[in-house]
Amino acid sequence: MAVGTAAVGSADLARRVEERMAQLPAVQMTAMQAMATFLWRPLAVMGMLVLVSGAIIAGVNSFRVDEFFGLAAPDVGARSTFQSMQAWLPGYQFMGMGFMFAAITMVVASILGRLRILGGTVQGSLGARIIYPPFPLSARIFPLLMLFGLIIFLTQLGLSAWLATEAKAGDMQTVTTHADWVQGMRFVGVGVMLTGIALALFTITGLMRFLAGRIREVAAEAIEVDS
Amino acid sequence: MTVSLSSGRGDPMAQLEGLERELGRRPALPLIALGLTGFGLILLVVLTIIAGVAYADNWGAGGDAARSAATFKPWFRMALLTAMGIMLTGIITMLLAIIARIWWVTTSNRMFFPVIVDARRGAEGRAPRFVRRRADDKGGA
Repeated sequence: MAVGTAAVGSADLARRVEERMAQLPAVQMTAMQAMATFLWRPLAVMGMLVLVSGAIIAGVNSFRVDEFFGLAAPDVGARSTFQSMQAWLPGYQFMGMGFMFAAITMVVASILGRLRILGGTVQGSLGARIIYPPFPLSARIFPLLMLFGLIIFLTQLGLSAWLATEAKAGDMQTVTTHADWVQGMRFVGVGVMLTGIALALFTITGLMRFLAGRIREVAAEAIEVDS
Repeated sequence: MTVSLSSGRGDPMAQLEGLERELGRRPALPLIALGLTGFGLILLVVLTIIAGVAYADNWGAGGDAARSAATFKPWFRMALLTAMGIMLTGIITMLLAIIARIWWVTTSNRMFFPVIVDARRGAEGRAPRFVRRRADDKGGA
């Protein structure tokens, strides 16, 4: 019987909470956060597809090594195909990493949106005016850094394709000349993406700090009204 | 379960004032994390520029220039990976800062929510539910 009473009490409590929640002002994400909540999935899927297909292509390409390596009369055509793949495959895989980093940035933006809703809901449920911090500079910069990082990854993919055509044509000197700085460019792309993620996380710490301070303000206001 | 401001150590008002002081202080951990990430990014950009400007053409030059480019290659790659490591350390530091911030938000909510609820109950003429007066702790004196 006690369980039944508790169940009825629980249902009654749930109904009362729902009624109370329905009276609270609606709090929503910003347009960018709502878009990020949707977009991270296709980006992550694309990234996974590129990375997995790149790994399969790399595995298949590695078997071509015995077509020319160590042979007295190597097959020049097979070697140039192998070297061509060696030139574009890293660029392709870094593009996949770029999609994954973009998806991570979107997820962090989505977390920011959730924090916005939760912070607003908590303030509203306490009967306080819903206040958000001024839109921080870091929140403006990190989506731009993500886009900039994607542009860098697309550019290095184009350069890798160009180097692959040079390798196919047998001009390995050009490939060797440009391989180092293109490699550096790929890592700069990763660095820009990571900086964007760090800024997004920094925005989260700032928002949480603001919300903790806001609860203190609501408490101070409540005590003043009480006294 | 009731939560009491005075259940912890020390004066509850002193706890509140301490919390206010802490809230007003800018935490250093997120800034350190941003510094590490920024330093790693600058290192990556500088290394890439060096590779492009100083060494790219040397491969075709032959002789000492080509040897110099060949010497550059191994430490260049290691330096790139080191810069990546610095950036990832920055990200981990930022995640640690968020963990600290979650603890902080939880602590402030635990301290302030009972105060807010009791203040509202007091305004409605009802007895406080969560926060016991210090006098109550001393046996109602």
